[in-house]
Amino acid sequence: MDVSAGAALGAALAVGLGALGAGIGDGLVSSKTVEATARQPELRGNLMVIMFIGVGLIEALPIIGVVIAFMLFGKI
Amino acid sequence: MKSIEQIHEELNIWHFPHHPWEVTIGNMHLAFNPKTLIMTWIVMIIIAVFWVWATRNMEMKKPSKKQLLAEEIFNFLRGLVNENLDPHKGASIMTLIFALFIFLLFSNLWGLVPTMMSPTADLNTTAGLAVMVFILVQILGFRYRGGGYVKYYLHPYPFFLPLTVVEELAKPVTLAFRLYGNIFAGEVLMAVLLSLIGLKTFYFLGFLPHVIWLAFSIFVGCIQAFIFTMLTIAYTARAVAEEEH
Repeated sequence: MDVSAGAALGAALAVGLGALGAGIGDGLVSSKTVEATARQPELRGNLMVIMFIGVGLIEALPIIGVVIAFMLFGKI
Repeated sequence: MKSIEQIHEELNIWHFPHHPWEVTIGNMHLAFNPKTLIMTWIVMIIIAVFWVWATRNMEMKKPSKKQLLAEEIFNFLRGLVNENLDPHKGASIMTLIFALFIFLLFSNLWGLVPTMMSPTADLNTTAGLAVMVFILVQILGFRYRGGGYVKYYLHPYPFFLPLTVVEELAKPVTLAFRLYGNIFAGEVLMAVLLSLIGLKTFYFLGFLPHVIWLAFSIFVGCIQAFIFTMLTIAYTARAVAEEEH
């Protein structure tokens, strides 16, 4: 396998697997936030802030994966 | 279908040089990235002009719309700071938090103007900001807790020291990469969309993906500015908080 084919495969895997994990994590965070808001609607503002922090932390890793994929993309 | 390099070449209508300016002073070798520098200056000018304009002729009785906007942003950030820190300590970092949020918000949104670039789409800018936050947190921890801050590193047991150091060093790295990755990926995806969908399809709604992605980028820019600021507050709060036993 030459380098460019490996780079293409690596970029696809980095983005795909990163997005898979982050999708599961984001789904869990959002569903729990919806449950908590349904239980205690008056805490909605606080919960939204906490949710955005959690989503931001989760999104960091796939975004780093995307940056690595862009680096690999340049090698194709 | 054009390659991404061609798209970048076509979008470079201001003729920014591709290579950094190299300067050597004595033994120090410095490289300046001209595009990032110029964009940062433009954003700084915009911020200065906007806030002078927004806070001119302030009134207590009948505030204007622009004054209300400025007050609303400041009150929002002050609420976040006061929730996490006690008001005395919070007041000392309030100006920094406000400046950080405004700079990040304006520079994230500036990259959405065609042919312009966000200063934060360069790893050097975000890494500089993250290192500044890291040093600030350490200094504030020592200032408010003195020798007790060392205990924060040896918290449950002294042999956790390597883990705590790695955890502490991971904070600026993730701060820098999160912001850079989000903004840079937004701009690269716009170039990729331009290369995949040519402007010839304009009359057949070929501009829709770009518009949708631009709208999403506005959201991402605001959220990332908020998260960077919020995490700065949270890290400071954790380093500064008194031990509760």
